[in-house]
Amino acid sequence: MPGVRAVSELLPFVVAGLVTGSLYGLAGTGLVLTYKTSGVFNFAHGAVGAASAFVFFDLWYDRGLPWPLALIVSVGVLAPLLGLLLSAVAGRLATASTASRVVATVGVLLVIQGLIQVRYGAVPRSIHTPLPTTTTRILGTEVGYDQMITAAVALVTLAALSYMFRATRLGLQMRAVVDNGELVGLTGTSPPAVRAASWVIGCVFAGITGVLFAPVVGLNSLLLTLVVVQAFGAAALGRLRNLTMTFAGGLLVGVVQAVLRAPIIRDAVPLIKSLTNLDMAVSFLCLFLVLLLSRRGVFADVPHVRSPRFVRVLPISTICVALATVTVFVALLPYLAPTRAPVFTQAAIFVVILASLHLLVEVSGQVSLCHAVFVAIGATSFAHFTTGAGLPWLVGSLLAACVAVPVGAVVALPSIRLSGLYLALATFGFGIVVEQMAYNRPIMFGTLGTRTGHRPSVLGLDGDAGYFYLCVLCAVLAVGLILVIRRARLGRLLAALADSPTSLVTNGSSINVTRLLVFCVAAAMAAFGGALYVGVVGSVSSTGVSPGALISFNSLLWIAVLALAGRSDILSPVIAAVALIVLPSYFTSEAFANFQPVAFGLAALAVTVFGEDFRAWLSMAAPAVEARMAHSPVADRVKRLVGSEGLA
Amino acid sequence: MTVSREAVDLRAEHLTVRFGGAVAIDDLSLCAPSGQVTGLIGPNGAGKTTTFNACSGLLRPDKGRILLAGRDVSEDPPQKRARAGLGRTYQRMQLCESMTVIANVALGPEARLSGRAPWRHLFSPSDQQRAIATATDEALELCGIGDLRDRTISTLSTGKRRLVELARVLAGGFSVLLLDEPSSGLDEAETEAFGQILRRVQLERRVGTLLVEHDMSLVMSICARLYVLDFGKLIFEGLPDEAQASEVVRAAYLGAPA
Repeated sequence: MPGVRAVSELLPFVVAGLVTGSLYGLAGTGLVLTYKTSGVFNFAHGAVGAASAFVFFDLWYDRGLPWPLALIVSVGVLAPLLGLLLSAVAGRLATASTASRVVATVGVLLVIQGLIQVRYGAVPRSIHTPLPTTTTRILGTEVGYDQMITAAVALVTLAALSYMFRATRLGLQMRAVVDNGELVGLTGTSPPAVRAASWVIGCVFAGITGVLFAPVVGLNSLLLTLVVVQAFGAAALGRLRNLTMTFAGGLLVGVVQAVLRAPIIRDAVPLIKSLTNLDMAVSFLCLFLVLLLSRRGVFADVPHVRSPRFVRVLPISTICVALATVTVFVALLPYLAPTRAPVFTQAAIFVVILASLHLLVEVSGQVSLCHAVFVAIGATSFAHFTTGAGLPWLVGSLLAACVAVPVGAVVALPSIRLSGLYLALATFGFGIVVEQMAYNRPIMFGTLGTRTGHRPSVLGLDGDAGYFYLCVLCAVLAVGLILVIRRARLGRLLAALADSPTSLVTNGSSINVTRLLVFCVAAAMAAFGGALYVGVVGSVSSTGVSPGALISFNSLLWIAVLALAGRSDILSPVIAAVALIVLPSYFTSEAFANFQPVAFGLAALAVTVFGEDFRAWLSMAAPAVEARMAHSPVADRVKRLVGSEGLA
Repeated sequence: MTVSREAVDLRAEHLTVRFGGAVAIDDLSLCAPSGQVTGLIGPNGAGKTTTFNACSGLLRPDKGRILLAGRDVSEDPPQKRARAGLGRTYQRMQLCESMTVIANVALGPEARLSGRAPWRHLFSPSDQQRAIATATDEALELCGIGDLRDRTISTLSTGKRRLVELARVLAGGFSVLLLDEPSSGLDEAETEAFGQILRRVQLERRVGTLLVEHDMSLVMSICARLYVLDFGKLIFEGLPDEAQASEVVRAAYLGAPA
């Protein structure tokens, strides 16, 4: 009978799905536990799993240590130590801005990833599992002992957590925090101890997941990170608060993912077959859709107080001298270092891209973790319009910017219902979904993963120097646009939106319009940067390892580097672009290249964790800092119109 | 401001709000007519702030409707009600902490003028800018915080913050003001000054004010009419003097039948 055959063909996939699903559930449970007890969402969760896996297989597979010892070192010592580190970081960030809370754990992610690369190299390796791989027949399906043991480990671990919740004092406190984090500070129990304990548990869960996943996906730090990060989808299904639901969500994601791989399903539904990588994207699709479709108020982020912006008002003469120096320097740059012209050109383009990110993060207080996707959409659309359709450069690049506008609007949709961290998570999910499912489609990079495009062919702009000047001009215009927006009504509404959306609403402004606008503008700017990007070497690729590559993961890197470049509208994008693009080109030795993400990560961590202290120290050291506060544009205008003499 | 200040009154009819099984407001009807201050008082948890949230559209009542100048606004989102002339302040203040006093106050008219049209969110014509500047300045002067204009909100005391929030709602040119415990956290002198400002507002502008307040001397001296809530139910409606004499009101406040 065909029905029975279908079931028997599907069953192995369901079993495999339940096994991976139990691991997603385990990792997700750890994630939700740490999130609920500290308010900090751990983007480094996957990296912790990867680190444990690498250390375990280093000790057991390469050095031949007995596996229990290797397990104790990797999951019993390393993971808890990382947990304590993250707990300390989280403790300082409870009420920090969304960007800080995101960037801090992204910093940890970069550090761990970087150290893995430094120690073990970037080349993925395949290893075999320490578990027995023989199979037995259960209900007519071959089930591996390793599969059974994996699922059993996940279940036993969760049972242990459940027992601890019920039977121990610490467990009771932890449950209290998970139920209502605000209350715990009031009831006299020690939140730091509870927090540290839950971070240790969460990281151990991530470690177990990493070790058990490594034989399946190989020792590849990015892939391992990504696999553990699939737990984000499970966590979203558990609404980032319910541990049981999270585990169930993990199982669901695992089973759906595995079933989508089954040939019988793929043959039956052509759509699934045509959507390559749908299985890898399922979890992130879940993440995006759950956040997008959830009832208002289900995901409500903790409010925070933004520290005021200090803008140093320099004398006109200083500004003129600085401007003249910079202009001369930039004008001479292609002649001073002719071989590096492409590097500086790319840096100028990144000023455009990072300025658009700055507009979202700093000006509007919203975090986008899919910026690389906006750039990729711009780059590939530009290639289609020019190389494909034969349109002139200017038309092609402007159209590319327009293409990104509706995409920006789609990403802005969650921002209507979500704020802060949840918006960041939704954009993160969106970025990975696009990368997994759309990058290799003809509409973007195609199966070959590259697209070509040309530079404008007029006025000598196709030469290295000419194109560099063009990109610098665009960078200046991009930063200028940020300054204009700051001073226009949109800037004032965005500043207010970042502080208190409620006040805007009850004073009559439709904040969804503001949010939609800023995402569209930022996406268009980033896409225009993408169009320029193609012209640097004449082609653009969907993969790469450089900090400027358009892989979704780099969105995290960019936002971390931008965060450590400060909060200035003019200087931050420039400093960040130099740090991302120019510096690596000068330090080309392998050691430097490897340590670069570590350095970025450490710096991002330092800025987010100690930045406030540093600012506080600055304001104590300079009591006159209040006087240097930038006068808001409104204040200036009011003074001009009314005159300040009547009131002061 | 371009907004005309014709007589606009706020009316709530048969409001009922439930949170799960608990009834927060039970069949409440009230009216805040233009040109006078109407008091809404009651012990803690009586449902005063819930009433405000239902009026301003932050929560949807299970039953009943809200009328603004005779028009049913029950289906309108908060921003639309604000554009129709309903302004409010919060017991837990909603200020932009990282911005200056003047920027916060200017946000009142600016937010209202930005409305819902996308182009209005991008740039503002200079006549609107002038209107905003004038409204902001009047409000700052009215609330006596002109000297604080360039201070950042996070450096201000609670009392000053209350004044900033009041100034913002005044600058917004609203016809109906919902003021939620504007004097809580203020000392005696500040409360006195606050009362003066409210009286001046009432004299100079034809606004209707609905005031939630715990300071009884302020309430008694300023309110033309009082509504007293207890456990979500309206237990008294009338003149302040009558409220003071009322046994029901006294029982609600002191907890014992007289």
